[in-house]
Amino acid sequence: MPVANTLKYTPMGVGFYDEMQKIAKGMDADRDNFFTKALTYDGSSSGADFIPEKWAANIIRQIYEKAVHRQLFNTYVMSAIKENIPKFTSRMSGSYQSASITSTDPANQLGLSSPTTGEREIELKTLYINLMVDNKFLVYNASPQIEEKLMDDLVEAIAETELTAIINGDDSTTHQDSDVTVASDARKAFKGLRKLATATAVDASGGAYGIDDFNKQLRYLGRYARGKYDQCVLFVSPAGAEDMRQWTQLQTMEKYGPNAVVVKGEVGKVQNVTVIETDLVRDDLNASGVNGATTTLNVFTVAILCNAKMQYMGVPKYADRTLKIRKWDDPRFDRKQLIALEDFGFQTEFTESICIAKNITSA
Amino acid sequence: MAEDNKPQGSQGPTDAEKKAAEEKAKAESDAKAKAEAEAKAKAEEDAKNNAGSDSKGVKMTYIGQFNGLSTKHGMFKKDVTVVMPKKIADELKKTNPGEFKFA
Repeated sequence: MPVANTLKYTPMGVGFYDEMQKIAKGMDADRDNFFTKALTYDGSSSGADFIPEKWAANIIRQIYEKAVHRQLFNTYVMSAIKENIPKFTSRMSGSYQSASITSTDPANQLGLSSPTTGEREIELKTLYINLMVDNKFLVYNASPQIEEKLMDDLVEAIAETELTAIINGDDSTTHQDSDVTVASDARKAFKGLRKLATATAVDASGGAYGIDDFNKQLRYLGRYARGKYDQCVLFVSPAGAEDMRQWTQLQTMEKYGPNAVVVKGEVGKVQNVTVIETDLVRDDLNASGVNGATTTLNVFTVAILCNAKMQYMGVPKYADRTLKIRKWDDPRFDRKQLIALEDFGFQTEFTESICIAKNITSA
Repeated sequence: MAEDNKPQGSQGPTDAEKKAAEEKAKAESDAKAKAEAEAKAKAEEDAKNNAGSDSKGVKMTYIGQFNGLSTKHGMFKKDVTVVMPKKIADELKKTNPGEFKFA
């Protein structure tokens, strides 16, 4: 059956995942639905046996729940491998009509408020998890706990693969981190936040991450943060979070109030900026914020502040290229291979919407 | 009335007032001497920091990937040459290798 090209829903937001789960559970009979296609690739065997169908949908839902970036960043639905996100590079500004109402001089026409425009290219890259399982192991350990554990691991792995590429990614010929050398490393898929950042960086001078460093970062984000603190997100490493817990300004969750939205990994808010602690922000960077060749100097971490609404995740329009889990049974080796594969891209609209604080001690 | 408390026919300040004025003058001169000593020490320190360069310090330019770098010694805008004391320049050279160009 050909893949439906018309989407019932754009693949974004919690509604998408809810819908996907419903279909997998047989609660929606609409077989032309986008998500059914995504889950029933190659007949109805996707994830069957090894991962029951309802869990296959659970995996996809849990990726959303476990992936902070999917909850925070913008989604850009792509119909081509490469697309350009248009943007205004300067703001429109209003002017004052100074000419007399009777004037017919062409010089007195209303001037144009010409904002300049630009674009950022976003490209879909293929990320995957290839899990090999011994048949014997499966047969003798075929308890729901084992399957659940494998499912959890798979979900965690996919979410982490996306996020590590978003934070640490660099597709330059030589990766910014000297220890990222394997060609298939997910961190080589595209340029991530740490590489893309161009807002004036803050140097913590080898000390702990302080509230003054954070305040400077907010200042240097400029118009990408002002009045939009609720759209901003701060990624810190465990060492950075340790420093932050000593801040009196850190608002922990019990102070949020009943209507607060809490995302995965969130440890608190400062000035209404969501703080995410993740060990995907590396603790072994040098003072310049990259993993250097001299390993003894890699004793620092960074704190990455960005406006989440200026960061775009590229997801494919075609169901065939969204996340799919396929199983390959290979009797020659008495094993099963479980391959989860998706096309995913990342780009920032404005590199100035990302600000790094570096040279923060992680000792 | 307050004036009644003053001795009649008194000319000029009382002993207590004289003493207070003396103390005040002494404190002022001490503070002045201290400030002068501090300024001298600072000048010496600066001269020491700038040893090996001209009296104005070291010319340095931030050439890293960011639009600038904010350090405890102030903000360095990208591609803008500033003059800093040698001690600070050396420190930044060490902590941020390759991010500054020195002239």
